Amino acid sequence: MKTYELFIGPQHVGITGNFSVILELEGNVVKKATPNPGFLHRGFEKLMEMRGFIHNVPIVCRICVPDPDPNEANYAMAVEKLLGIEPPPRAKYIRTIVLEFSRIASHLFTFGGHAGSIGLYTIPNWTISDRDFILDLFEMLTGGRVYHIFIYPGGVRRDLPDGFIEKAKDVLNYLEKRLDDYNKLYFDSYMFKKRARGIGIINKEDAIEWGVTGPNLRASGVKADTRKDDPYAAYGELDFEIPVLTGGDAYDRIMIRRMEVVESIKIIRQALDNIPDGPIREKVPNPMRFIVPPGDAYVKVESSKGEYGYYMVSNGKDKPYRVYIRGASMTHGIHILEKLLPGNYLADVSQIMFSLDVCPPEIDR
Amino acid sequence: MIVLRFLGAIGITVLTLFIALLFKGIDRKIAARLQGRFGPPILQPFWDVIKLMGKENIVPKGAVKWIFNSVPIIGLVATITVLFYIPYGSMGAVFGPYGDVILILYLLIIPALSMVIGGFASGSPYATVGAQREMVMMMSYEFPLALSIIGIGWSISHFYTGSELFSLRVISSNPLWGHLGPLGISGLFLLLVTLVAVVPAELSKVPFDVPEAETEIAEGVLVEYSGRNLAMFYLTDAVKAFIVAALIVLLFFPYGLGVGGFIGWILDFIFFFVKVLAVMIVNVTFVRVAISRLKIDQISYGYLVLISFIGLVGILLMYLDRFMV
Repeated sequence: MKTYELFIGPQHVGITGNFSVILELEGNVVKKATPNPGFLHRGFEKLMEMRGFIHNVPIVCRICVPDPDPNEANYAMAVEKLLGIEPPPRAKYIRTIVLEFSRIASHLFTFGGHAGSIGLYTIPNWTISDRDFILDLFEMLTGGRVYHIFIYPGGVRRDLPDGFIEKAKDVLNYLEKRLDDYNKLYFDSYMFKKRARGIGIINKEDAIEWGVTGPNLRASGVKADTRKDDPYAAYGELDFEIPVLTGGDAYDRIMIRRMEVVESIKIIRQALDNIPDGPIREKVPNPMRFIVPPGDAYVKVESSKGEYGYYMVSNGKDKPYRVYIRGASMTHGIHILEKLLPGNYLADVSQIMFSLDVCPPEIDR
Repeated sequence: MIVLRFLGAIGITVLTLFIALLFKGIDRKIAARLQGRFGPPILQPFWDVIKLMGKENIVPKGAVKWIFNSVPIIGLVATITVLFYIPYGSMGAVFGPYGDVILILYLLIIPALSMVIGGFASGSPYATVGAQREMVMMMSYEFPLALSIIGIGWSISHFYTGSELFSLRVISSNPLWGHLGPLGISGLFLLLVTLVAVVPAELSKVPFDVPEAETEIAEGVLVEYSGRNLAMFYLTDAVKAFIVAALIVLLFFPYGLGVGGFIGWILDFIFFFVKVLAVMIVNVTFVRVAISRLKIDQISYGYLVLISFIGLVGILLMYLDRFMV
């Protein structure tokens, strides 16, 4: 049988952002998949070598658009480690709240993307409008809706404004109620199970060998989460579970995110209730002469996409000598996708991509 | 007489195009409200068609030009022809005595086939995939569709002795529900289920929108169409939705309001459109916001095995019903 080429993306509805996959198909079955990134190359890592430590904060959040805060937190933590300072407890709690809200917002985006890719166009409309409530909270807290530029080395930029805790609790209650609606239409639906079960299976051994992280790894049956294994921010003091599923298919990858939303709501509630008083920022050097002592540091956080790691080298100047970013989407979007797609039907290509939750800007960093 | 028929045909075409686009607008509005959006104005489909008519018609480089440009016209003409054989409630069909429901079945294949041919002629791989899917889906749903319609005609033959057995006039003036026993009514209900399951596929709407599946093959068969041609496919789609809903109304719910005289005639005529709209909303709008798209192999299996089986059981029950009375 003759094969033919089909371009999925970058101008395609069923693609996760500025990204493209070139498929070689035989009839309805994918024979070969070649991920084709590079549409969003901004050279983040190189840019950071040219700018001061504090000037890099507005850059790092652009590495993952739907989930910007883990990058900010990770960058801030790497700088703090080099400086040898620890943010005050209140800042840690505020960071936790922001990070978890960002996780929920990103997961809602993923639900919408995956449901859209299997043709259930109601869920994207619902999740995007529910995500707006979280964006409203971000606007109230940070002034920005998508990019927050909020978590600085040494702490956070602003304290919680008046009425934020009540508003945040309202949003959490609302989201919890909405999850039931999603259950009825999406998570518990027969059609979703029929479409997503057994599609794009990553088994446990392969997942560890290929370097899968985050929810995708936990969907394959490995209980690993940086929040528990190597606690940062206020995660060590809060009580939460790490959900694990064993299927490793597209269905489990979506369901694990749904469970994580519940856990995130739990975490935010605790953080809002137990938030200590005190300063929100440790004393840091003058932003114009932000000199960091020489040395290197590797810090990792758990984002909604997987594990982020920042390796930062400073040679004692006001700019980092080198910042290397280990991102989850690089693995998921290039290597895993190339391995998973062959043998699947064309109809499942975009749902596999969405279930892996790839963040294209981070591939091109 | 011929002049009158001709004028009637033009009148019916204009009226139905208007109503079909209006129904499409209502369908979009209701779907939007269910999805938590405000949705477009109800008259948006009219503006869409007017806008598309004025746009440039782009023919891709590798396309077979004359086929690419002629199939939208063939599809639209075939769809409009069906309208002349449909009795509009109290008003009889314009070409009433000349055609029957079998002819409608054949004419309904033509728009789908024209989309397939247009997809192949456009030379785009997306459209080719979409055209193949459309063809596979058509082969799958034609049997249950024919099964339910012919089952009804065959069932009517048991008590109706006149000619023109399969004409919609006869079927719609002899509603089956009253002539059957409990077994037969359950059989007829199964045939209704069969037809209801076929409707979204006939219109390629979710869950059977595989030929157009945006997130898989980017509008599939229609991907290269623009301007006038796309407007014609848009009209075809709207009119087809009207026809298929009207078929369900005529085959299963042909009842009028029972008011006599001229006023009753007018009321029945309007009531027919209300019924068509109700069937469309339940069968197309609600379904397409509530469930997700199936894969082409699942659709084929579903129609050829499950839905066909339901239809056959329905016919069997209606057959057995004759011995019960």
